[in-house]
Parts: sequence; C-alpha cells; structure tokens
Amino acid sequence: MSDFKWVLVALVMAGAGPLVVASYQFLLVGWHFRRLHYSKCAPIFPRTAILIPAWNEAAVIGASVDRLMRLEYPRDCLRVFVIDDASTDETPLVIQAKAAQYPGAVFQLRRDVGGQGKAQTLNHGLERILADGWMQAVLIMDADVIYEPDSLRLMTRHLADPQVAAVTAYIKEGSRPGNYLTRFIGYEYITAQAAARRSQNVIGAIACLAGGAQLHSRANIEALGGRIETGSLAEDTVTTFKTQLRGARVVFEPHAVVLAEEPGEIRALWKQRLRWARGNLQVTRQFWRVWFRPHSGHRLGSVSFGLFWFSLLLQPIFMITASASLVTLYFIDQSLAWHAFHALWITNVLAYVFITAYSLMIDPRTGRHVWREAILFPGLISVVIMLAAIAPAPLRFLAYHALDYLGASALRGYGAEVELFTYIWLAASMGVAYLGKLAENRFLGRFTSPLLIYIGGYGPLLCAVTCAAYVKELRRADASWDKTEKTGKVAISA
Amino acid sequence: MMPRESRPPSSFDDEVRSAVSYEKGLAVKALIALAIVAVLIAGRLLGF
Repeated sequence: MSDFKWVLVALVMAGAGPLVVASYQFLLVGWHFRRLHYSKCAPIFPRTAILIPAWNEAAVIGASVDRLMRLEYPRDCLRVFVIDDASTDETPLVIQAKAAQYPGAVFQLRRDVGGQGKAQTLNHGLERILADGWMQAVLIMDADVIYEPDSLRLMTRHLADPQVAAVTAYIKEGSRPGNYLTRFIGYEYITAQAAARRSQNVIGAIACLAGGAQLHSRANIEALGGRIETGSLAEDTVTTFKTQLRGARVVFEPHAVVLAEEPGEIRALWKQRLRWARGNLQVTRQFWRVWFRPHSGHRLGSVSFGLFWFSLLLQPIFMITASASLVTLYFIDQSLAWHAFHALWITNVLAYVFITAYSLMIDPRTGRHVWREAILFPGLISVVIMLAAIAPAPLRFLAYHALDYLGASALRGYGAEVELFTYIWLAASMGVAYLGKLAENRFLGRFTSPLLIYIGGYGPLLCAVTCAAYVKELRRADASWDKTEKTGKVAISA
Repeated sequence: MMPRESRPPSSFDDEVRSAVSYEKGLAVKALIALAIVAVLIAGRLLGF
C-alpha cells in the first residue's frame, strides 16, 4: 500500500479521535472518588459577596435574588450586589424593590454607561466590594441562574484549604417547560459539566469556572489584580487559567447544583455558542505557551488536558478531513475505503455507547428527561450508520425487507451511492444541522427545524458553530458582547 | 479573619460520606457502561 493511502487511512481514523479522547475523559470520571478534595474541606461560611451582572434582566432577577436569600447560609455572611449595566427595562426598579425587601443584604450598583460586556460590569462590582474588608469570598453568577439551597455552602467548604482559590458548581439546564433543544442542552451539560469537570478534577486542571457559578477567595481576586480581563469573549475561562497558572487550585464541586435557563431556539443558542467558541479560540491563542508543556506549578500543560481541549476545539476539522479522506480513498481503492470506514464507525459506536450509557447513569435524574436526545445526540443518520457498523447483518435484513414492503426493491441497486453518502455524512451532518438553524424562522420552521436537528444531530450543530467561530476569528470579525436573552423559565423542582 | 464555622460537624461528615459514596458508585457505573461495550464487541465478533 502506498504512503498516500496510509496517510488517508490515518486521517480517516483521526476522525474517531475526539470520541476516543472523550472516552478516556469519561473513564477518568470513574477514578474521581480517588481524587476527592473532601479531606481538606471544613464547614466554613466565609463572608461572601455575590456579584450579579444584570442588563435588562427584569424577568429573572427578582426570582434569582429571592432564591439567594433562601440559601442555607448565615444571612449576616451574605451580601448580594446586583450590578445594573444601564438597563433600559424594569431591572433597576426590581433591584430597588429587592434592596428594600432585604435591607443590608441586597445592594444595587448602577452603571450609567453599559453594554461594554460582562467583564466590565463585573469589574465595577469588584471595585466596590474590594474597597472595604468585609468580603472574604466572592461568588460571581448570572442573573438567571437559580442556586439550590445547599449549593453555596457546598462550594465554600473547599475554601477551607488555603491551596484552593476558586470553586465551581454543576450547572444544569433548568428550563421548565423545556423543548427539544433544552433537552439536548440538558444532556450536553451532563457530559460537559457533570462528567468532564469531574475528569478535570482528576487531572488537576479545570478548563473553566462556569460563568454562572464561580466562587473565588478574596486572595485570588486580589492576586488577579482585582479585575476580570476585558479583552476576551471567554473572560471566565481566562480567569480560570490565570488562577491556575499562578499555582492555585481550582475545584469542581459536583454536588453543588445550579440551574440555568438555556436557549430554547437555535438562533439564540448559535449566538451564545459562537461567543463561547470564539472565546475558546482566543484563549487558545492567548495561552499558546501553556499547551502540552508539563509544568511543576500547574496541570494546564499536561498532555491529558491538552487532548481534552484540542479534541473539542478541532473536532470539525477531524470530521471534515475524515470524510474527505474516505471519499478520496473511495475513488482510488474502494475496498480499503470500506475497511477504513468500518474501523472508524466501529470505534465511534463503541465510544458513543460507553459515553451515552455512562452519562445517563452519572446524572440519572436529568437522564430520565433527556434520554431520547442522548441517543440522538449525534443525529439519526449517524445512529443508523453506527448500527450498520456494529450489526450489519440484522440492519441489512431490516433494510431490504423495508424496501420490499415499500415496493422500492429497485433501490437495492444503489448500494454504491449509499456507500458514498455514508462516507460524506460525517462532514455533511454539520451542514444538515446548520440547515436546521436556517429553517427555524421560515415557513413550517417549527417542525422542520427540530426535524433537521434530530436527523443531522445536536453534536454536529455544535461543530458547525465551531466552524463559524473559525471563520469569524480568521476574519477578525467584531467581537462585541452579545447577551443571551432570558425569560425566567427556570424551575427549582427540575 | 477566619471564616465563621457554624454547621454541626456531624452533618458535614454525613454530607461528605454521602458524596464519597455517590462518587464510588460512579466507578461501578463506569464498569457497567464498559460491560455494555464488551457485550457489543462480543456480539460483533460472534457474527452480527
């Protein structure tokens, strides 16, 4: 076999790379019980200032403040600062009402000029709370998130260890009633939060303190210069990296649960995830000296962390090159293409089954709501291809009988076309998912858009967002802060 | 200044025990998920 064919086969198999890395990440979850931080925890209640940046959050801010006032935390150790970023709706009035309802516990900080981004808004609040010595810890959260009553105290107990500078919680999708998209996000958060963050605890490097739940010690905020970096779309990730790069430890507390309202429309999801993906590309560039360079002072340079980071960031590239290589192989060595395709998809199906089954067991409560979306996360066609890879004989039997039943036996002769289609699908799935976005606001979009996402896959939709982020960053497109709209659909009983 | 400590230690210990138990359970669940994968591999090798 020529070198060129070997290269193509290698590129095809690289298409399974992200799922193989994800499987490794999930295996580490099973080792989490050996890396727990509880032996260094204590039931402490530092005086905590809660910072909530708010721009036009009238629909959600009142309920969020009420929930905070019901936290299982000493009231005299808690102060809520809502930083009104020059809202134009009823937000200031809601905050004033809450400040009157909870005197000495809720404060309004008003910015006269807003719209400069979340980091600028937070810095306004940080400046205020650092001005006196009351605050021992600061919790940065979003206006729409709802903290379960025990969540804050479950987080603060880690600050008893002086090595720990920051703690984050398990963000769960909490919209009720939800829709197909929020269920996909619900499943995604099991994988990206409950599972991935546990594995990051195991390797000792956390990728991101979730923007909706980041608890910092005062010492950490001061060590960071008392400010959040304003030049990035991923200010929470930058803060997380800087904290760890100075040798401090960051911990994920999986039993502290915070519910967030996530987008129920692809248009809003696309906007949010594009910001995140572009932020991650900016972080990749900003910390380019960190990657794959093990360091005694932190674990961000570990090979494992680098694999986790880049397998997600480069997943669309792996998918496109795998598809392109398969198609090229198809035209120069059809038999080899078929074998490479099988090896790729059998690897994919084993990883998919392990990750899906394990995810649903990691958070069975959420899993009961989202199991259909978990199964269809890669898209219906990908699931069928995986079934064909792992059980070709039964699937062929079923397909032939279905064609006979439908009176379409003549289609059996299109095997080569079907083969080529399946080779292209890995890349094409992103296009179909993108069509789901385009269809959303068109005629019958309410039906066609979800259908296209179920067929193309939610995973491929996220990959399409990452592709868009590549393009935006390459073009150095405007990187202004674009806030996700919230309507107050989170329910604590979720 | 040291942060205030006001929760009864026994409750804290119970919570930690419960969390550790949950995390150990995740190790068992990982083995179950791996067993499902093993069954798939066996099925494939046996000629499905």
